[in-house]
Amino acid sequence: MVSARKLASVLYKELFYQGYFASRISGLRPMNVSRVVRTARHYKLVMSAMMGFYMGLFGAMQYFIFKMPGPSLFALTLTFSFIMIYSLLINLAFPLQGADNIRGLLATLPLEPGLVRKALTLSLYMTMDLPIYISIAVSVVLSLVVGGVPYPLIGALEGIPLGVIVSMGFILMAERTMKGKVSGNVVRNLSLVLITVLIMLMVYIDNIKPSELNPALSIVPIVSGLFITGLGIPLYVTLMYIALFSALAYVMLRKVSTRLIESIVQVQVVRVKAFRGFRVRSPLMALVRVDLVQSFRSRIAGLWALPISFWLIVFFAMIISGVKLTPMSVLAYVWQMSLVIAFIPFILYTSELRGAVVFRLLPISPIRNLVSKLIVTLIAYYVTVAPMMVMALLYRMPLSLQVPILLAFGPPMAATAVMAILFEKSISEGAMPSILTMFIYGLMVILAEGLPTVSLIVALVLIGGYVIPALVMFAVSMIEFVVALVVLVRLGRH
Amino acid sequence: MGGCALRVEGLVVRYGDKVAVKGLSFVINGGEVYCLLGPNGAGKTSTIKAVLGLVRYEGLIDVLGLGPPSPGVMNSVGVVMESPAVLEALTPREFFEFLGSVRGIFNARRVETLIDAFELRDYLDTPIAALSAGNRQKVAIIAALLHEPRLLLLDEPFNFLDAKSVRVFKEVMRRHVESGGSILFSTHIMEIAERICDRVGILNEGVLITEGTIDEVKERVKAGTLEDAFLKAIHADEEIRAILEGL
Repeated sequence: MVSARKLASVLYKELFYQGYFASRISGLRPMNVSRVVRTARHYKLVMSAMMGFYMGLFGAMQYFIFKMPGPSLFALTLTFSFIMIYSLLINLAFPLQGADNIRGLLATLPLEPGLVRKALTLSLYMTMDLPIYISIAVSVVLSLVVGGVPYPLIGALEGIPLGVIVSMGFILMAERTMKGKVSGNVVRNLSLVLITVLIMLMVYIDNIKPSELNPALSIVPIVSGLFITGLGIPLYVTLMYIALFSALAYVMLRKVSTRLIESIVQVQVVRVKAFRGFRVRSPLMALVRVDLVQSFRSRIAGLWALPISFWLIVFFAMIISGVKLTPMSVLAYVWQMSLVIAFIPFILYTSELRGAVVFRLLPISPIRNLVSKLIVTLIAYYVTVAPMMVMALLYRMPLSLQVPILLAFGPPMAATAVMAILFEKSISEGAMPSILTMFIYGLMVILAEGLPTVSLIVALVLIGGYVIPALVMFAVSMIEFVVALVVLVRLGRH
Repeated sequence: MGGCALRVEGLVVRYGDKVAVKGLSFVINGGEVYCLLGPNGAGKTSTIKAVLGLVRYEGLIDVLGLGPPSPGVMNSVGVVMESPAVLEALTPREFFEFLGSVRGIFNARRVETLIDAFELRDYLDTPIAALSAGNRQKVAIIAALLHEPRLLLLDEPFNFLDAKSVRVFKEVMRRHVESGGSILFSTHIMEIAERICDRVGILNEGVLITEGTIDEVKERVKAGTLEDAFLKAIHADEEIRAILEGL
């Protein structure tokens, strides 16, 4: 008789492979399947190690360099632990629903339902075991380094079950909405927006002084940790919440295991309309349309929320905190926004990986594909900065201020061309680049963004003003863009 | 019909250390159905992928006299892949609209006819990701036929199709060839190959063992049916006999 642990280890490998491979399927078979399987298995280790490293680094910086109070470390480890668990589990949430092969196989084997459920619970736990160990280990080290109340450890212990609860919740929601056209997309986007909101929240909590908070908040979940000063009610309340969340996480884990075995995905009945012919006549516009539709329905559509989130921060800073609007503050916001917008081509190209083979079977050159992405990115940029341009005019700021705002499109433009190269390279590798390749890609995108930004800062310091530095940044971006274009043409397609 | 629809010379396809296709050469003439037969892993799909430029290859490929595979050539080629090449985030309606715009087709009559022929109308607004395997295959087939290509590349195109759709598609293929079009067809189902193909090429472990008309191939290996000819050509007949005796 097979043991639950042995069955779980097999299921875990399949779940992780499905989560990693199925979510990125492109229609092209990876050139090196064994590497893909290896990459899928190493993904957990690399992600956990990376997040653990940043958790430790940020914690140390916060404490030693920025001299932040101990409770801010509670917020940091809570958020990091949450994201570590959540980002790994959410990766499985949507592909899991399509993993009929696992369900089908389990149903045909002579196994007790109780054993299968236990094995599935275990295999789900195995997908997050390493992040749990690493986050606890890092938070223990941070607690020892900082001394006194172990804020980092308490934060991690609260963040881990919360991560499990929320991701299990999304898995259950995904299971209900998988075949729904609108609801499925809403759930997918919500799951990604959550990370953005959490990061914003972390930045906000980091700046909170616990002494200025209303003492009544000391019994509120999560916030209670900020009030711990030693043995006392806030500590006991927080420990009670940790126990409560852990129990709930276990219940959710069991519930998901049961649902995964029992669920039968129903195809939604939809209203049928007549085929009205081909409405978009320009091939380029058709590409733009498909880019938008695909990206909004993709797993990373939530990243479209980044510019909106950024504006929320800006307006929060301006209206609530009363920051005065000056030409330089307008430009600072616009330049930051320009960096945020550089995520748009990433969203567009990454969404396209799934159907990459279709694009290669059509008369679409990499350059035409790039032009389509540039149009979307350009529209996104100018729509986003338009309120700033209007505000600058309303505040009677110099008209010359409009020039750097218009030119700050440079870095996103260069990033788009760099993403085009990465996309073509990914396709030639079977749309399944290795972790090392992804790391190099990441570095290239950072460089594409970083060089114009560095040139802007240097020009601001050396020359002053804002029109010339903006021109310098734009010129550097254009050089990058042209170089990337040459590489793209050389890469060719066939 | 005259003219060369596809010329492949000395084709080599490698996946790392593994050589999937080893120096394959064949020609498909206009108005001809050429069938690549072979066991699983023989190199049929790799050959089609090379013709489409989806994998790196060595050797010469000339599609419709227009040169090697390139975005420009793709407007004259229709493809049904082993796994349907579709954009799953779109609905069939959105997908067909996209293809029509990119390929410059603005007459909706053809797509309307194909949608009805393959009984896909009820699923036009369902995301492709939510369709059954058979309906996804139908979407891929319509996508391949939409622009009335001169060369059709079909890799196991009858996968998941119901009997009615198989019959419709066979008729569509027949009419395509009658109008001067050509087809490169890959399958491991001998009955279908015997009924549809003008010439066959038998591939095994990346090497073309034999090729010719069905009668020529049968004659060459002294077999009564294409299935027997195929099994003899890849030396599987003795192996099967031994397996059956062991059962």
